[in-house]
Amino acid sequence: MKKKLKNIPVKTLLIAFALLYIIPLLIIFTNSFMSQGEISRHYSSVYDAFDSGLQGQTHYVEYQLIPDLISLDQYGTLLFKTPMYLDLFLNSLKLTLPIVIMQTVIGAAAAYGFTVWRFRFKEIVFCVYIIVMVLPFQATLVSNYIMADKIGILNTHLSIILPTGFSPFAVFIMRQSMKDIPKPIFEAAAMDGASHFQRFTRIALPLSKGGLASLMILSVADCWAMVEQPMIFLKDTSAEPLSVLLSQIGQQNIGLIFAASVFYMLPVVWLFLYGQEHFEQGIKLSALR
Amino acid sequence: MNKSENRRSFWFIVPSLLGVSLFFIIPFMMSFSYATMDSGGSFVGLDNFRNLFAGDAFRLAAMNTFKFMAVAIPLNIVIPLFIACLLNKTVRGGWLKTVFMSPLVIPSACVAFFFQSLFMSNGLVSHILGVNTDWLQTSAAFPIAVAVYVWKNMGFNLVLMLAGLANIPKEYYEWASVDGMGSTRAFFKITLVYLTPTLFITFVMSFINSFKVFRELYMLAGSYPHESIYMLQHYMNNQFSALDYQNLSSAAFVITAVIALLVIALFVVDKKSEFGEG
Repeated sequence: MKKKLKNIPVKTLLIAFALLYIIPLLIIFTNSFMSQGEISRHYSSVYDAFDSGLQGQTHYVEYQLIPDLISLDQYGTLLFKTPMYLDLFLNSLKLTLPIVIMQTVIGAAAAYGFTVWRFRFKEIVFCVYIIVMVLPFQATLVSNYIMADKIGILNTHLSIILPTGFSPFAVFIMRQSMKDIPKPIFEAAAMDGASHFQRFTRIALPLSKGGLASLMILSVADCWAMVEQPMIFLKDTSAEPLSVLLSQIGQQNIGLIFAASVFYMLPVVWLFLYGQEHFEQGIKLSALR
Repeated sequence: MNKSENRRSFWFIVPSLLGVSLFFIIPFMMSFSYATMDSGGSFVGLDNFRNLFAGDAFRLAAMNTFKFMAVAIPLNIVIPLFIACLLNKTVRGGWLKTVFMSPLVIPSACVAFFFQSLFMSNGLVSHILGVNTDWLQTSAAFPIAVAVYVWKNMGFNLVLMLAGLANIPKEYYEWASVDGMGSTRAFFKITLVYLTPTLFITFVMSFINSFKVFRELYMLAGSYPHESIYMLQHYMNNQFSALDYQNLSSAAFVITAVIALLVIALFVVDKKSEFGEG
């Protein structure tokens, strides 16, 4: 009884916190069924101030959860009147898929190498990886640009895919999860004559499933949201991913912001719900140690 | 494992090593030449670095970035830790975790839109206070930037911490209370100790993501925001737009050097560090 009473303020606090996350999600979803006209009536002042620096108006923003009239206007415009959106959606896929595959394969292999390889200066090599990993994009920008220019891949998707695909972050995440695998398992397998490749595919990979799941989720979320890289490396606007277009939503197309966001979020949300179970188990495993 | 066996395991690292060298390390060395040249291409030694440190913009940006990290990263660890302890005691809320993770998928443009609609001159905060202030142009910009960052990133840390907490055997707390240990002491002696590996990962993630807050800040306030949130990322972005590669490369070098020192210090201080063998 006493415990229950104590829980009420705790729960209130938690729910208050959760509302900070639930309300924006709800607004995005319900408002994606408003007509574009209704959106600009409620929110246009956001971009008045944003685009033209107009100040001193008294027309405040009005959040509204339930549309006055439910309409598929935004989706219609998005999917049928502006085919560009579908193209950009495909561009997002074309960037994200190869990057995630590269990061997973190269990262997992390298992590296995770092786990079993015995070499006096191994940690020094890994230290360099960590440094590259924590550098902000703006600091590696010049390096990436120079190399893309040298091998002639500027303005192509490859200029983004290659550097991101070799990201040391993948190696870090996979190594964190592989170092929890007890060493004797590898040694026993080696005694039985298993090759490195067999130990990698039959032991290291299955036992670091959780690490793989977390890596994939983080990597998809990161690639899908990429804005700076495409804006710098891709001059041709038709090659840009959806995230860049969304980042440029302004007063003219503000009516589309919510439907475009839902459209943008769907594949990632699906992946999240699908992968979350593995993901959490993975973290649990790596926290076991 | 014999010698040739060990050598063969090295091949697993080779693809990654080649890629990292080709796209990060080698061009980074090459970019050093930019840092030691003027725009005409003649060698000027360390002049660019001298100019960099003499410039007010760079010093302001560096100070702001440092201040931002010093405030935002601890908050991004303490707040989810607090919530994780609460959640762990009460509901274990599965759906709550999903809700807190949602900013990972919400487009930055939407995040910027919501914060804009709260803090601009016609926004909700101004409405409630009955004023017409664009809060992002005041000294409130800094706490707003911190709020954007924590709101966006704490959910991931929270999920990691919940997983970490779930792995601490409940008996430890029972034994501790039998021994007369108070709950505060139990928190420091049991929870924090067993959570150290998790806390380490959340720290690394928070550090990396603290640079990425630039995306939202840029959408909120453009290239030249209020001076309290003018970060190194703004500075470097502006140098890139101005095609000032000399300045940009020197700044990139300084940032890399500082980060390298920090990482090396971590490795040296903690020989069996969380990064390595552990």
